[in-house]
Amino acid sequence: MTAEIEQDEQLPSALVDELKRIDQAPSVITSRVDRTLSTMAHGHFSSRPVRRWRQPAWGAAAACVLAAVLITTNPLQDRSDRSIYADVDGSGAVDIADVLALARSGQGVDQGDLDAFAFRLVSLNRDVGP
Amino acid sequence: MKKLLLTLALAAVFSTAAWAERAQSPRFVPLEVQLDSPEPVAAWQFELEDRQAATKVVGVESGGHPAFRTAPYYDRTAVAQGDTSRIVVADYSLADTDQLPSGRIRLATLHLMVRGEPDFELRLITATTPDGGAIDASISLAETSTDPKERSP
Repeated sequence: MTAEIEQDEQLPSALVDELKRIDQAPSVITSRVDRTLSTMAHGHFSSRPVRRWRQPAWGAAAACVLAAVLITTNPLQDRSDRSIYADVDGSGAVDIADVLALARSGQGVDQGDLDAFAFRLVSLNRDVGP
Repeated sequence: MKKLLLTLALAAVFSTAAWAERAQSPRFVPLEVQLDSPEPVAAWQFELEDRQAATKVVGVESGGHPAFRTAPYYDRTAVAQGDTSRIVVADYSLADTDQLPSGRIRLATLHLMVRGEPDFELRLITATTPDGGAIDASISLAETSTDPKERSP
């Protein structure tokens, strides 16, 4: 009984050979085909115009310089922090009358900026206030 | 006799100490800052300081006039901390001229915590008309009336 079972667990040799044959990778891309494709590719791309990569480099450099200037100076912050905090009405002093003049000037100054200007006037912090 | 003198001496010491403590105990005082202006006021700014530093500003209230409906501008951080004896208050209004206050105006009510005898210095920094013209106005302090009828702006 045991010998029959052991004999049944071994596949027939013909079946094994057939399975090995199927498992082999098909030889679709031969070396000849590879050379032909490479020649065709070279011929195709050699006929296209060459791009001048030096021109975008100047543009990238200018963009980097501009970005560096904007990051270090932050002109938007400077505008709200310095330019409106001034003697708008020419009275010789910076006070709430300047906030009123700015609000009535019709320049479209943001209410947040007007509030910031007014709070700066009343600040008791010597480094900030009047 | 000695006991009597000793008793009198101790009584004098304790009564003096009690009086001093009462004088130094804090009391809360609301003060109105009033402006007398012959012209309509569109913007105003004043500064109040206690030269004795016996006062701490603990609150600022609007004067209540409709043209200045919102709370005025002041250093809210300093007032919230309750350790300042000086304050600058300001406000402006974009209301039409006929809606602006004139005459005697209550600009603000300051809530103060006073310990001792203060020595206030009140300074009007500016008062202006809608077109920015300076107003020859005078500013003063007044105790807040407890009568609601007298508290109208």
